[in-house]
Amino acid sequence: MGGRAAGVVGRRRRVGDVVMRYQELSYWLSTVDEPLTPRPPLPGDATRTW
Amino acid sequence: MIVGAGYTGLWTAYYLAGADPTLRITVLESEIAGYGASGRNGGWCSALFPTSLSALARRHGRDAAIAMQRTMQATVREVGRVVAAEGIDCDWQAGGTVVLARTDAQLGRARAAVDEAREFGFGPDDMRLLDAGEAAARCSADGVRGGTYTPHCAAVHPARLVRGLARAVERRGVTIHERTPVTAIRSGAAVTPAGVVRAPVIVRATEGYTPGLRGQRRAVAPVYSLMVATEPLPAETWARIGLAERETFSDYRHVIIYGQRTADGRLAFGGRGAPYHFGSRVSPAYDREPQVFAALRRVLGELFPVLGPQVPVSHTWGGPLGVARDWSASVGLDRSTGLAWAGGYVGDGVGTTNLAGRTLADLIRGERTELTALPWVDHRSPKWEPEPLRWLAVNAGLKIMSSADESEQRTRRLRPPQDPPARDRRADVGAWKAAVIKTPLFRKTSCGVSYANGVADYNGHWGVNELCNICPAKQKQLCIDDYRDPTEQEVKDVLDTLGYDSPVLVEPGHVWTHGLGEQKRYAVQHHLRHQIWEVNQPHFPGAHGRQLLGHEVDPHQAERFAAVRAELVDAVKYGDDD
Repeated sequence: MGGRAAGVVGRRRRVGDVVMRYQELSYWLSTVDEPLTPRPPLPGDATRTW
Repeated sequence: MIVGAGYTGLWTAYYLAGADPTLRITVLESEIAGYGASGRNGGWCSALFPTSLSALARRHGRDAAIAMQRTMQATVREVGRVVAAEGIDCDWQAGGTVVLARTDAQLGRARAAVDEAREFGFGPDDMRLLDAGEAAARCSADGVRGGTYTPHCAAVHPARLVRGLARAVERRGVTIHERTPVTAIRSGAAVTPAGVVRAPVIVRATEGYTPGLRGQRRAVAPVYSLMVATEPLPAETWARIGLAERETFSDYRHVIIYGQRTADGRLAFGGRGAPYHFGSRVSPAYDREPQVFAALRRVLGELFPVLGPQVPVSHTWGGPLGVARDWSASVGLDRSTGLAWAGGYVGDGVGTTNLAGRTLADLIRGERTELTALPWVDHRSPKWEPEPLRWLAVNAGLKIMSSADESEQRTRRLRPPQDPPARDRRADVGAWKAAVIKTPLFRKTSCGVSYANGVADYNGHWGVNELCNICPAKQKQLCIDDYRDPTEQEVKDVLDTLGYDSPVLVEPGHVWTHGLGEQKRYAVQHHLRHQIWEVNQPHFPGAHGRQLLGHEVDPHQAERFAAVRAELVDAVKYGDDD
């Protein structure tokens, strides 16, 4: 198995793990009607001003 | 810039974007929207406010207290309006709240709650006393002897509410960045691993996670509340339990419990009682306390024996809520720094956060409105003490409440005639009322003397319900107008003047001391005209005066406080950064 492919699989697993962890936080979060996939974080390359 | 995508941050974004669509609003969230208490709470959208009407009146006056409560009631309706307008599918049902009384002591507290409501002009449409039959008709828990009902509450699926709100906020043009922790907030800037983000106004909406921000460890104490949910219950079980209108339910014990019938037919049930963790630490490990889950399961089984000896619990979870040093929620904006905040809801946040969001939107836009005039606006709670006093203060309070409940419960089972509130009612207040005597009745000589002279109580009795509940309204108002909490320095000054030595913890309504003995404690109380309490002889709500007449001494209490002291000795080894 190529390293690149393994990395992709690994990343997917990590996202899946994170979603699973959020679902396990409460009965309520386990029964929302949407996936708990995180929204994109703040891009990490710049200081920002609003 | 809003830090935190729970109810507080999202409601703020929602109303701010609605009021001014040209504003550029970003929400930064360390995990996902609803990760904290917003996704884990009991699902009560209520008009409960963490500060009682009487306490608000003492500090801000009667009119301000009434305005606060009326606004909270309207807030429940406002959340319902937005839920409908935005099409948020969150099992909203405005069935009200029933609070049960299952002992004489609890019945006394139910009556006191209604009496307090009436004193402030709230009628039966806001809260009414239920007799045993009426209470059981709503929630047929074991041994129900009465209770209260208020319509000002809706049961809600809290996670669907917060997730739906996040989508509504995005539809209004707000950007939410998840998995973006903020480590520090300062004027005009929020620090993240991705860099420093600058904005003219930064809202701190982090509640139980606030101590994780640099320099904020003592702003809020994270206190854990844990919950369980049962398997879906069969229709015949629900026919025996009730809650037909999905009323949220609780009872009048001291340790807070709360429950709701979920839309899919489960009982979701929670309670405080988990320990506060030293140093305001927050950890996923603290979400799960097997002893607390077992206790919740046991209480659920006691309330509803129909659930059987093995209450069918399918889910357990928990999380931290935020408690300010004076147990007062607050919202505000410091115009000089651009730093805004809201929080300290003590678990009553599902409704209160909406009011916070609307209020922050007004404050940030520079609008002076009815909301910005409410008494919680710009209230500055003092910081919690450095450890180990913080640990002592929070956990001592939790232990006192649970001890009182256990004592009452044993009293109910073993010696029901010994319940002091019931005896009080029979012995004096009831007889007095029955006799239609117009002469006022007082529990303390100084209260009668104060009344005769038209002045506020001069011996520091005001604020203990069991002392003040029979005083004439005119006298109570004098005491309310005269009341204020002393500062810690004022207490220390009195101790110095008298040559006494004691640790001091100032809490709303009373000051904790230790080791003074009764005579010295009274001397301090009379100097300060304020309740002075000994940490080893706490007032048990429902007990008459300082003596626990009729209350069985809890054999576990001395053991618990010994444990508190032992842990205190260990605790001093742990540093505190603020």
